[in-house]
Amino acid sequence: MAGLTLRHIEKTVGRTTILRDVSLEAAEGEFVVLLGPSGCGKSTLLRIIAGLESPTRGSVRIGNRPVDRLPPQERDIAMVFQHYALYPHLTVRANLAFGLTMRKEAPSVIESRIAETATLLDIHDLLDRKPRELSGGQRQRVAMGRAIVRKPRLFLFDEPLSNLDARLRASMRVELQKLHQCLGTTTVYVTHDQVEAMTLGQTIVVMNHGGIQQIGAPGRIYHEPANPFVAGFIGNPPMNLFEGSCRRRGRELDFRAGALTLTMQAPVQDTDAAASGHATLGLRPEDIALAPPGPGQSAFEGVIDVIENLGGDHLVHLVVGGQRVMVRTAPDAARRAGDVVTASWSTNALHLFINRQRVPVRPQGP
Amino acid sequence: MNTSHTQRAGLFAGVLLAVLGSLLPCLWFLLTSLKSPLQIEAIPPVWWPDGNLEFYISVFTDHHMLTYMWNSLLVASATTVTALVVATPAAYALARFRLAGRAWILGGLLCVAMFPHMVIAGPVWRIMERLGGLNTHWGLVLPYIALTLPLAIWVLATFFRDLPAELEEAARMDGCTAWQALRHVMLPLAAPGMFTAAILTFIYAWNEFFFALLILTDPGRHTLPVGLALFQGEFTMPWGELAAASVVATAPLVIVVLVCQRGIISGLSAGAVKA
Repeated sequence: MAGLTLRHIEKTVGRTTILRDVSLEAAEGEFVVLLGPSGCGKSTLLRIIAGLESPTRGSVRIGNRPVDRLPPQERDIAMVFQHYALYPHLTVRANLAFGLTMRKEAPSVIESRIAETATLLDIHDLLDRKPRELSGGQRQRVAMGRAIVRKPRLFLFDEPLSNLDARLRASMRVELQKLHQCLGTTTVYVTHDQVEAMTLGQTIVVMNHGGIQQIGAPGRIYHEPANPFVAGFIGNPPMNLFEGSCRRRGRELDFRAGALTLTMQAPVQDTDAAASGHATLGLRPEDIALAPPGPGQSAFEGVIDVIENLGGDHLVHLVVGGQRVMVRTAPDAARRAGDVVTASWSTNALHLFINRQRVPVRPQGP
Repeated sequence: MNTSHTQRAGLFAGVLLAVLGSLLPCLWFLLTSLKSPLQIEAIPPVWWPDGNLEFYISVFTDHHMLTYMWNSLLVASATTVTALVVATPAAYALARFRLAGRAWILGGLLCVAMFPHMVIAGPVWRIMERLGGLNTHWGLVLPYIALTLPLAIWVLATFFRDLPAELEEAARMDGCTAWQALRHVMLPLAAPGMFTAAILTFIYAWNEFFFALLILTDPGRHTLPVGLALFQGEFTMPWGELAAASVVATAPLVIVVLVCQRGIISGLSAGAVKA
């Protein structure tokens, strides 16, 4: 059964289009992450699901129920806000009770739900404090508690970890994951942080300029990005992208970007037209080795510009035929800026996009 | 002696001077009210009074001080309550909803507040005559509300605008209707703003002289400012009684401000969202 269905959602304000034709389906109990740069429309989409904003076109269903005409309070959704939005004049206990009181639950039910939630989130000691007496991490917990305590059909998270420091964020990520395993409620989570998206999401929806770029499992998004935007957005350090052109020669495909040229086996099913034109070639920094090419590998020579020490790894910036290439590799004390090195990679690791569409490539045949 | 100490001392002296300068007339009235008639007339002036309460007794026994106070309290309270009840939803709507011409509405309100009383005195009197509001307290409260509403709406609208919208949205998600969100979440948080608006309205209505003189001619209905003005005889100026009455008239205001100040300063919205 579907937990959440969005059909052809569009949102325009004045002449600005914020969302264009967004359709999305989340299974019951699924953890969906909306990922994209700021201003891509992901928060607006979340607010449309919540009922805090209405779409210009399109429909929202929660479970099997269309909710387009329902105000937020009747959609049975809980939302955790970026700035927590705890009621400052109420204690933590009253904050948790608020939603239940509004829904006219019996006092005994409210009491037991609060106890249950406090145990789950380990916030027993905070129940009689006011929000201003809590640290950022504690406020975050209480904000999640306020969402959980109501046992809603759907959880919405709007960049909930963005105000926490790096360590706290890492531990909250793990907690969120555990919480979702424990509760199994359908969740839509908005973030611009790809680490959060990759670690939390069962499905990631990559958005840009108000449209969906790709929907898929984290591994799929990482290994098979659908277009150059997704390729460049997912992964840290970002994928090396070379803008150039492609030309088909029989069963082979020539890619040329400045001084960089490559020959690959052409995809079988594509027509000539689809296989020629503007092309982007992608190579992840971790897929390149600073070593002579082995069998089935290609190579180019480059000059080391900068070496960044990441601790466990080195990030080597090369200049290859006027293009910059990043390589993530094991540390080597002998390496110096200005050295000429050979960089090699397996053709399997290549990502090719022709006319901004992913084209499957295979290593050049024997 | 470093510069920061000198600067602080200079600042302190400046503040002290400003406070004393503005409080001096009040202090002089307080001292005068406690003097004997002989001390008041003395030349050179006597600084320290002998603690004579004669004028205070006279104010309450020979004049209708209690009646004036009661009238003022009635008029000022009615004005304050009504103005707040009307201003709060208006300010909320102006602060929160995307209304067409919101800036024009707010600007228009400010214009209304800026009309000189003299200009509208005639029309107000005629309207009140038609409505039968002359010599009644409601006849005075009505123009007071009209004159204080703009200020109250401005103060409250500014306050509502500064409250995080996320809180209200959280309340909506928690099951509140828009009205419930206003009542259970926004109003408690807007309390400091409401105190401020209430105090300003109350002070205005308590001190207003011109309309009170215009509309209330029956001595039994006079408010404090008019009552005080009538202390003055044709040939005499009862300084002692005037001073005592002024102290009595000011005291409730000072008390109200001191009490409400706590509510204003407490900064209720601290901790609502991360700064």
